[in-house]
Amino acid sequence: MDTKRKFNGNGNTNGHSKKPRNYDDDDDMGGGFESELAAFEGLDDLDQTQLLGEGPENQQTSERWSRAVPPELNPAEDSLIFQQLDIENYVGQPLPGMPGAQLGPVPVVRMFGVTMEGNSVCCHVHGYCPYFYIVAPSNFEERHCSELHEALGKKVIADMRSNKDHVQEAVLAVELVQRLNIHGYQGDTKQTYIKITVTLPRFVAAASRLLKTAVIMSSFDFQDCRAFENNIDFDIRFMVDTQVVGCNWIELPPGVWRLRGRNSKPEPESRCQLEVDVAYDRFISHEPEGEWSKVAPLRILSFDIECAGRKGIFPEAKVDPVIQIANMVIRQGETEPFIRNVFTLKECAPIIGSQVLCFAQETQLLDKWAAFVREVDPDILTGYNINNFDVPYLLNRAAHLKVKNFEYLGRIKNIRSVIKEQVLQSKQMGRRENQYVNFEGRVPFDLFFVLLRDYKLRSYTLNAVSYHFLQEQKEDVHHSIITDLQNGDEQTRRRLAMYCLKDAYLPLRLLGKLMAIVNYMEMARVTGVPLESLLTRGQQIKVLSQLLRKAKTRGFIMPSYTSSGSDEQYEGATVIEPKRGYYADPISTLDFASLYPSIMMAHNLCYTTLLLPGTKDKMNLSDDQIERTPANNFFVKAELRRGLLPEILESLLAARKRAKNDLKVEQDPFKRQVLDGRQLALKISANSVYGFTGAQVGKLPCLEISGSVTAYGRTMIELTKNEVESHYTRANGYENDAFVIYGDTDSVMVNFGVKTLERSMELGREAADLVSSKFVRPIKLEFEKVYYPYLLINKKRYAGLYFTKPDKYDKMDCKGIETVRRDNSPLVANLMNSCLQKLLIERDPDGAVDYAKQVIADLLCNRIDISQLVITKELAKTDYAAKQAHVELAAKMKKRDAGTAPKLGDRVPYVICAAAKNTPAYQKAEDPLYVLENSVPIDANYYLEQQLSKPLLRIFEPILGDKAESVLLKGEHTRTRTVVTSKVGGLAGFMTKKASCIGCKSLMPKGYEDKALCPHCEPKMSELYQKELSSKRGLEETFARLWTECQRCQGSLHEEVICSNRDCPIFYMRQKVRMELSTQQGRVHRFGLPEW
Amino acid sequence: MATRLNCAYENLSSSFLLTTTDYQKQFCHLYTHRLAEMTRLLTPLALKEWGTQVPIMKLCELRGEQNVQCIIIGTIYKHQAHKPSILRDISEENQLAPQPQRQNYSEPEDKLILEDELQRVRLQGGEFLDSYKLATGIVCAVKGGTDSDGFFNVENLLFLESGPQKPLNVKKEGSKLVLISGLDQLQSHNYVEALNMFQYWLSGCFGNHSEAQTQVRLIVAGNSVRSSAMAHVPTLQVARQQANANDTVQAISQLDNWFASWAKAIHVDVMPGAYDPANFMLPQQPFHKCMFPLAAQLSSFQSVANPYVCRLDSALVVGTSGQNIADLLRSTSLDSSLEALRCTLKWGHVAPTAPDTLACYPYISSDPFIMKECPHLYFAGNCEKFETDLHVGSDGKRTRLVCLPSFSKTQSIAVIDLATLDCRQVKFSMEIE
Repeated sequence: MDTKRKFNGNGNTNGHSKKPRNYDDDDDMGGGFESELAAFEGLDDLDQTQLLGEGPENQQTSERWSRAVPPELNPAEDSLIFQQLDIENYVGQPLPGMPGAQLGPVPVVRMFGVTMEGNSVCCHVHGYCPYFYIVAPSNFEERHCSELHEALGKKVIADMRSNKDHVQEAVLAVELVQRLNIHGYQGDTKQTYIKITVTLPRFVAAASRLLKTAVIMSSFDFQDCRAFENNIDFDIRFMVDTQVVGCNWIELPPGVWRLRGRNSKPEPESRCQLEVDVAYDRFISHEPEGEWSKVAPLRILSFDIECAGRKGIFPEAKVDPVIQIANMVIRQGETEPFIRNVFTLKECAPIIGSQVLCFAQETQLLDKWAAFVREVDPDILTGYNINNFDVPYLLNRAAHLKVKNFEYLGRIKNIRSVIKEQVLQSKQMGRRENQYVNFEGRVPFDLFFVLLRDYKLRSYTLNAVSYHFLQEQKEDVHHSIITDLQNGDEQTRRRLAMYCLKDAYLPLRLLGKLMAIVNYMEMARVTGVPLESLLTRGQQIKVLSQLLRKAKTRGFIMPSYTSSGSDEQYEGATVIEPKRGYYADPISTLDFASLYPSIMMAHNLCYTTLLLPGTKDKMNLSDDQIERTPANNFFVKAELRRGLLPEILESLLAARKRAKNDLKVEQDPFKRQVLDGRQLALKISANSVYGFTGAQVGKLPCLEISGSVTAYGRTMIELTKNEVESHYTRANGYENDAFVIYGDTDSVMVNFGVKTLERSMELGREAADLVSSKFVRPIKLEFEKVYYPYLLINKKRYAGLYFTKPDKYDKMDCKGIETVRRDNSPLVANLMNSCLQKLLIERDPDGAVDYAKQVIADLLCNRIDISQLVITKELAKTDYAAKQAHVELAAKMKKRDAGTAPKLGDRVPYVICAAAKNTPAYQKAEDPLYVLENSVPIDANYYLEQQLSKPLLRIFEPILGDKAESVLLKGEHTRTRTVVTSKVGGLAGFMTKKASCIGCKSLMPKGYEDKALCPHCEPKMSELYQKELSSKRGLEETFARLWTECQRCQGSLHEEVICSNRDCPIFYMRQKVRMELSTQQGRVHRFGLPEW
Repeated sequence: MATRLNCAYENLSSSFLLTTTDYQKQFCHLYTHRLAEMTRLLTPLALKEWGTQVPIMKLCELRGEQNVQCIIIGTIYKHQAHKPSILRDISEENQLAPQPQRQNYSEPEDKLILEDELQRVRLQGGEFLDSYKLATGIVCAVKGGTDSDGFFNVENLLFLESGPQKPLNVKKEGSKLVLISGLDQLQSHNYVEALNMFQYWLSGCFGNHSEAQTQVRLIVAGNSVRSSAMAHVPTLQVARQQANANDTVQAISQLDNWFASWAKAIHVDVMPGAYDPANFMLPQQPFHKCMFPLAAQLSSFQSVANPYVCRLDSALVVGTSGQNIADLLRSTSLDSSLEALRCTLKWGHVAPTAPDTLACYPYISSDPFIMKECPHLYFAGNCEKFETDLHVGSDGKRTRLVCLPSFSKTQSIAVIDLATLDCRQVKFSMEIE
């Protein structure tokens, strides 16, 4: 709810009329949530308390909450199979009988997972040690190893600031190995490297630093010896070496594992039902194929908290109490949550279908909630913005109230969940500062992050998102009301609990609808990284993980690269200069399928095939063994050495093809979801390989590769253009000369000059085959679609009706046109949308122009609904350098009413109002509600000139040419303007209202002041009265429809609507119609009551 | 005016007249008041019907307990996926193909929910509960119990049945009431002959002099000006002022002539209808005098509210211009206007779907649509065809139900004997049947 509206916005999403019916039979268009809850199957009895231990030991209070009792397992005879979800490492003591260092401390890897029966597993993996490589100095031989071992070990120990773990041994082994450097082709002769194995992960960095800076051995100088793979995370390293990929199945065969029990040594450390030990080289890691592509019945807990804030202040954990926590727990693969409850502070009336747990003390509430989480033992924690709000708030609040044991939310008994700041820098998302909380063994999977990563939306509030994906408005209670509801009686608290429950339920529904868990799990399996890192880290780690896996099998190692911060640039993709215009004929589009991956495969571009300057002569390579790329780089051909990246890409694309084929035959809907998620993950992964080589602050950038890829792309687009234009000519017997009107990155738009869709598709297919034959396999030009008609505005800006089959269009495709930009008012997006529809679907350019003119006229005459004009910006901080409209407004609103004014982190909706000439724009912003209530005039010119004109001219210039501006923005329709008289500010205080005639607006003569009409208009009374009545009629209808809609949406007939969801398209309308109806009623009333 | 039978007349519609308005209020007050008032009236009925063994409870008193037998009085809310929604209309406004409004959106998936003052519960219960035939806004008492799935299993259902009825004085020669609806003046060029005949008939110039003498009053039940909505063009704006069609103004003045000449022969009460130039929300207020300058000069002419309640001698007459019935037919699967009319009588509420899908003024401390006294004549205008029945309710209450077809479509009217409650249709069609 609104206490955490960090990411508010203007949720007027359009373009989604699709009904949500296919997803959930129980979807209610609003109003039904309460009965929806009630219709969930009933709850079992809950009060069979059974204490298993003390303190933060798991309690088993309810059969429904707890997991099923695990089977009795005998490690000597039974195998244990589970799906691992989380992998981490800790420093522990060596376990006798396990490989690796026998003197403590040692690193131990912990895998958490779930069995097919739904039992949670914690598996300690012993004996795996971190290592790295350095280039062996010349003359360094086997016999020097032990000396280096000893010397380095001492240095590292001495280098430690303190030794509280009593490390006795830092370096475990030093050996000579033969490996190949991944960077640059140097033949197949391996070089000698020193592999240094250390005891703890943190010694990798220390050891490689000491080798660089200190004198370790007098006889050898290691300072110039490049270090290899010393920058790889220990967990990733472990997963690569043991062939474990994210979320795959782990099998512990009989006889190799030990079960920890009550009296075992070591004692169980986790809250998992099964806790086991195994050596790192004794377990089986199943590839996620076939049977092992299944998914365990994971428990997903979604929750939402409410806090009672003070008016006008963002809730602070030190002051404002947590009053409710709603929880929903679902098993992956099921459609409805099996646990639904809400923890409330003070009595709350029961909710049928959900358990209500009331507490008199907040400390009790928090304590019991933490116990609940431990008992439910979820594998995945979700919610909306829980990472940055709910979880840190709960932890801070519990710490403030000194709730003992609250912070034990993870699966390791003695580890507290604490808040850390985390900065994530990624090309995809930009820089984001996040809070991160550890839940050993549980994966925090914040829906908000998923949406931020995968979807570009106008607004990311839960309201906007649920409207976008589920076509449901969500009732929103303003944070200033939450406290009042809490301070009311058990019924008002029940009302609050209903919202809270809904906010906990929505993330689950959205996760299901977007298949987020399944897709992410598949991505983890394909790329081999842990599930959690997909949300917390960028794209690079995924490629790195795959590259390491591939490199290992071929004996390559990867040099560590320190970002030099160079701004060396390579040329990007090519764009064929667009021939702008509105094309009423079909335009065929030819696309290169997976262009960049296929270029890398076709031309064998890889680190391992790159020829560094001078190598050609050194290696005596002939010209036909190497290939020169259009970017003037050299790579050896595949006959000499097949590159790793092409191999990775090949297996990714082959796997995608397999998944797509499986998808075609699979019937089971859940398995179809998995397969579809898989093929999508594979596609995204293939595309990110190119990005990895171009990322300059990456693990291993290689501009030779990325530059060559784009260079090839450019030449291919050019070649395609030439081929098409020279082949499809009248001279060669075709209907018309073909022209390439536009081309960008991996697609080329061709105008074959034919009139029918069928023919343009036929020619498109033919041309694709023709051009494909000129390229190296697997580069393939595909005919995909025809745009008919097509509006080409500029580079990366176009719109068209998208046909893949001649009988019906698939969709209207718009690129780079103002429909999703968030700093625009919805008016712009809606107008653009409507105009494009008229242009493209109705093929009515005149109609589109008329429509645009009509809207402009409406805007100038104040007939546009205010919700169309609202611009929304986040109030991120108050001390912007330049004055900003929304900041100024927030300050103004605070003066009016501190209670409802936007707080830091809120999104501030505003409209631009008319003001005296030269008033800076930032002073013209005003609260839309204030504008409505006081009839403040809107600055129509601002909207026309700053918002509408540019995008409108852009789409109409190809049609109207140079006169677009004069036709659209200066025509007859802009002459009439209506300016409303404000009730506030300016001259309003000096005005007196005098009665005027409703018919002719003239001032009333004496004696007529209380009449409706002047003597002149009186004969037309019937007509004028009907006119006023007709306006009132329309308003009455709208009034009734709007307010009953809200009554329905809030799910109660007898309670007042208190929703303040400003993202809802009718929020302002309903306010406006209220005012207008009252005014109109006043006018009608002047004619006198209809008395007989 | 020709000599007519003497008939006492009393207009009882004052509760429908709005002298002050407040549009700052929401609709919850109307629901709240309806529930409170009807609970008061239903409670003794429930006790009488079901005795005192099963307690009358509030949903919040159930406390999640199961299988408690009880009686709950609450408002029905019918959840319907295709109920008209302005939110959906707005979001579809910019879409490719706006969905046509459905004529009927009652579906097997509709869910019945009972809501009392504080909480809601889903209803289920086979034969006693026919979601097709119930509508949002009905207040009723249900007997049954909650089950483990959170449903309330309805074992029996009780409606208000529109209060007690006052006795009807039986005279030897009963006064007759004439009902007409749907004059649709804008289309009247198609049946001007029929209108003329009606006028002759009304004034007794058709050789029906003695019959005409018994006719004491004419009620014009709505849609006198038009009987279909003006074309509406959806645009980005909400309140585009609709051009006041000139023809409407003209039609009104023609109507004024007709009414004036009718009112010379008989008392005429004109009710506004759904598409007439009147306000939109129920109750529709009488037409303003200025619209009928000629007829308004006659004391025998008046415009009244819709719904309209009056007493003629001892007969209580209640009627609407038909919006309540049309709206019920859209949201339920009731198969005829007559059934819908009968249902509203049984439910004890003229327009239960107001305000949900039927626009209605946001009353704060009253609900004028509750039927506290059982009428002798209950009619609805602008129905598809003429239908009538003598409904016998509990305690022998007798009510003449009349579904009045529009004159424009059938050229027919209805005549009701206020003493015997007999009803007949009179046709003025030029076609020979």
